Amino acid sequence: MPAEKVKNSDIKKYLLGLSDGDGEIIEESLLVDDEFYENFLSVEEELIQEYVDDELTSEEKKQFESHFLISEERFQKVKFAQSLRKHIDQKETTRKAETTKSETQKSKSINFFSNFFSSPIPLAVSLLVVVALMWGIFSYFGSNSLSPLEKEFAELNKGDFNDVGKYANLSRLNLISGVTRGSNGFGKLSKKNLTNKVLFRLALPTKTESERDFKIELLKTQKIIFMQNRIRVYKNEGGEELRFFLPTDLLKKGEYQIKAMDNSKQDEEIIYSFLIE
Amino acid sequence: MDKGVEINQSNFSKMLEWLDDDLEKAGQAYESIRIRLTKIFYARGCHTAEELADETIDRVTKKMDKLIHTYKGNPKLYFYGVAKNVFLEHTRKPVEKELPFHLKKEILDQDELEQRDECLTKCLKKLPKDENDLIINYYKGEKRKKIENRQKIMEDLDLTPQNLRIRAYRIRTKLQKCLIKCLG
Repeated sequence: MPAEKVKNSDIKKYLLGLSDGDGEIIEESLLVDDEFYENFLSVEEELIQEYVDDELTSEEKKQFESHFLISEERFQKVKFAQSLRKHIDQKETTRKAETTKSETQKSKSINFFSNFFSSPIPLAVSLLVVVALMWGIFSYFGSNSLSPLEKEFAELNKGDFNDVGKYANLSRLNLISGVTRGSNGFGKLSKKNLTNKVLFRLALPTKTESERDFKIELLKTQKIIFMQNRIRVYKNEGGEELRFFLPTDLLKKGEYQIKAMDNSKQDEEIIYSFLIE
Repeated sequence: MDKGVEINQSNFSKMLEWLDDDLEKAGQAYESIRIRLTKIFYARGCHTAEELADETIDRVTKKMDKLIHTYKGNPKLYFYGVAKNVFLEHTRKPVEKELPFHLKKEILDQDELEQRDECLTKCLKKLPKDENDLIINYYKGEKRKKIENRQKIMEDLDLTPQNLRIRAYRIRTKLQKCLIKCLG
């Protein structure tokens, strides 16, 4: 039988003294074939590890102890195999314990949330917290998302303008819809005489009893340069009007239009015109 | 047997030269033959395998003056032929049956176990990462799990079972040498 046909199981039997006649081939190959020799040694190591791992049959185990384990070198190899097994098992046990611990903690977290949300009170509290957080975030980012001009407008218009007499010293424009340039009553202001803010009073053509507010758009040469929602309606002697301040920086020389839209009637536009000269 | 012939520097040098013209390679071949003969004697159940291997080499060395001119073939096989005779003679002698080593040795005490484990940890750390991973994964698990682990290593590294076993053996040998050194 050529060396290449010698199976590892044959080598194992040979080492255990259970060989049935292939011994000479193995021994010759051991001496002359380096590759076979290295394989032989690997099978020997495997055999030792199998003994340590208690994977040998009872006959193999008996032969291992009586026939194979007869040298100090082999005994040292067994001790090495035992150490290696112990070390690897300990390492594996530690790894498994860590995995289990991690999974247990994960499971505990899941159970906590599961129990927490299965009860109505914690659920309601959680929802309130979420809503409060969302409101906070919205408020924060909402206020911060305003442009500098919008912020300035908000600052100028945060008060109550019922008593317009208080603003007698400030630039003002009283506008009536439909009045065009060249007509009587066309509103105009001189740029050089403007105060830092201008009070706009826009007369509303219709009067309603219900509460309402308006959206306005400031246009120059047909382009919207500023818009604002929720412009408050004030009562006056003849009816109603919109009152608001615009920052003077917004008003350059030129002709402007203001479109006012009742927020409850989006399709109606009231147009006011004025000139800064 | 060449009973009257002594082993001297001359016939020992001839034996080395017979093994290989290169003196260094001849020395390696000599060591290799000695170790392998020892393996054979141990495999045949001889407790005094090393002595029998030395006896075999001595007998061949004594024949060198004749052999060097007459023997045609692989010198290693000549050693083997002589080893078989040495073994036959050995089996005819009454041998006191020795107890297997593991029965004579005391159980490792806790200190030795810990020392060995400490050394093994150090030795494993000295291995390159791929070798460390391979040896740990190779011996990890029991029975079916161990087979599955090895199957996975073979797939990952594209190795045959034989190549994997040899690779594990080489790493294991490296570890054993390191352990022996560490234990002093």
